[in-house]
Amino acid sequence: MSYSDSPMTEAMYYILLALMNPNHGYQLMALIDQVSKGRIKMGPGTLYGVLTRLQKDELIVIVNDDGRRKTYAITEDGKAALKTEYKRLKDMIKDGSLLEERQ
Amino acid sequence: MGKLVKRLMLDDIYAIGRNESWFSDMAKNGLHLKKIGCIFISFEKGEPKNTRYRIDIMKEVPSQEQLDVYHDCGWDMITKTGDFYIFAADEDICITELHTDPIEQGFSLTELDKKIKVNLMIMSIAMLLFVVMIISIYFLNDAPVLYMIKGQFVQQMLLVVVELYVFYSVVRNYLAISNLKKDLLQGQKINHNEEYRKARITGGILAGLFLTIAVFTIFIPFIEISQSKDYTLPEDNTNLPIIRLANIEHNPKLIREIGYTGNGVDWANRVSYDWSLLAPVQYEIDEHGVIPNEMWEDQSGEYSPSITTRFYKLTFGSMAENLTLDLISRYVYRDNSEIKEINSLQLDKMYIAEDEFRKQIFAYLDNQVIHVTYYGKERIEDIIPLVFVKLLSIQ
Repeated sequence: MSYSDSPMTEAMYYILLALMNPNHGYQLMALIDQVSKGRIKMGPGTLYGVLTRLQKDELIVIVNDDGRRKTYAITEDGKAALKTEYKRLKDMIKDGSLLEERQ
Repeated sequence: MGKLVKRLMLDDIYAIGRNESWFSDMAKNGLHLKKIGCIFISFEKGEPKNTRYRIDIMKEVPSQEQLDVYHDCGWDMITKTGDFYIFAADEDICITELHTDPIEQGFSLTELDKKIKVNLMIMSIAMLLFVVMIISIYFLNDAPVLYMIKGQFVQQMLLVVVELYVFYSVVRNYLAISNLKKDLLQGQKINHNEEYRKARITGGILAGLFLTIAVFTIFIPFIEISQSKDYTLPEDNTNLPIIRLANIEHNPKLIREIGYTGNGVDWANRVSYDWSLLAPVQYEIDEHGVIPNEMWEDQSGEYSPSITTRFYKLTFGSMAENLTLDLISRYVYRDNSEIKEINSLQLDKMYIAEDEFRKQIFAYLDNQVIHVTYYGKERIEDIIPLVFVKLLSIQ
């Protein structure tokens, strides 16, 4: 199933976001934990599952593989997908502001 | 390294939650998963521990970097079987679950789901062809019951059962993965503590049953071959279920006509005995004679009568009627002869067919069927009582 079939999962969103700067697996976990202020504790299985899928969908690429570590980076398609999702989330927040007005 | 203990793989590896739960319970009893084979799973004996096991499905072999990251999170790969990788973590140390997003985990099953679907389609086509082949053997056959008792009917049916079981396993695995994927995509996590005992018992019973059937299927032909024998019909009286030529001809000048002799058997005067599950006693007995200086009525040569007796003792008496009808259909050439039913209170049924010198009698009583073919000048009416007496005497 590719990204276009559904809204992004939280894991996918954060990984794409974290890959705005090229990075490798282990640091990505720490970075996501940091960016989400500890809210998201991503399991290693999920992390590598998402990385494999994003690579297949060409939303990320491996920019460096020294045999020991792979460095991943977001592609233009990945950035576009991330922006679309960001806009969708913003729109959702905007729509949700109705809740605040009612309080 | 501790002692290795083997356990039978009684459940499908596709039943992820159940296997994870079983492995954890085994670890609590000091048996720690080591290796998964097709039939056995090996555990290493050690101290009881609380261990989490997770079965991860991956199409590609995980890189060392990936395994390092898993290890840093507390997860170590124990073993793999096919695309199924088994990881373990110490319950007391591990803080991060292997998979934290069920939807993403659901996506990861897409490839496997497709692969099993293709397997299922191939298997369905193969199964369909197999069933059509089996059905056609019996439905396009002019003598299906005869074929059933002579051929490998029981073996073929057992093979159908085994094939159906294999097919059922493929369907079951397909449904397991398909439902798991559906549940995960709906955000429902895998139940890592799923009850496994019932499934293991059922799996064990089914596997035992089908293994027995499979072994039995392999052995039937060996039993059939070992029971089958050919030998020359003795000239003296025998206990065989046959009508002797001498009893029909009444001519003291009748002597045996010896035919082709091979493997120590006179094939013109031979007894063939066979065994099958549906007909444990099967005889086909030929006898050829000659009366020197007596000619056939058409002067075609020296008078040489012969008789062939086929006798079957069936496992199921209910097959006797259809076997008799099959024998008629196989051995009576309807263009030349008329089939007549002979009324008898003592036998279940008797039929006769006659064309010139060829006289045939078919009869059955309970689970015994006899077919006598006589070539000679004697009248069929004189042979009928002999068949009566013979069939009744075997009872």
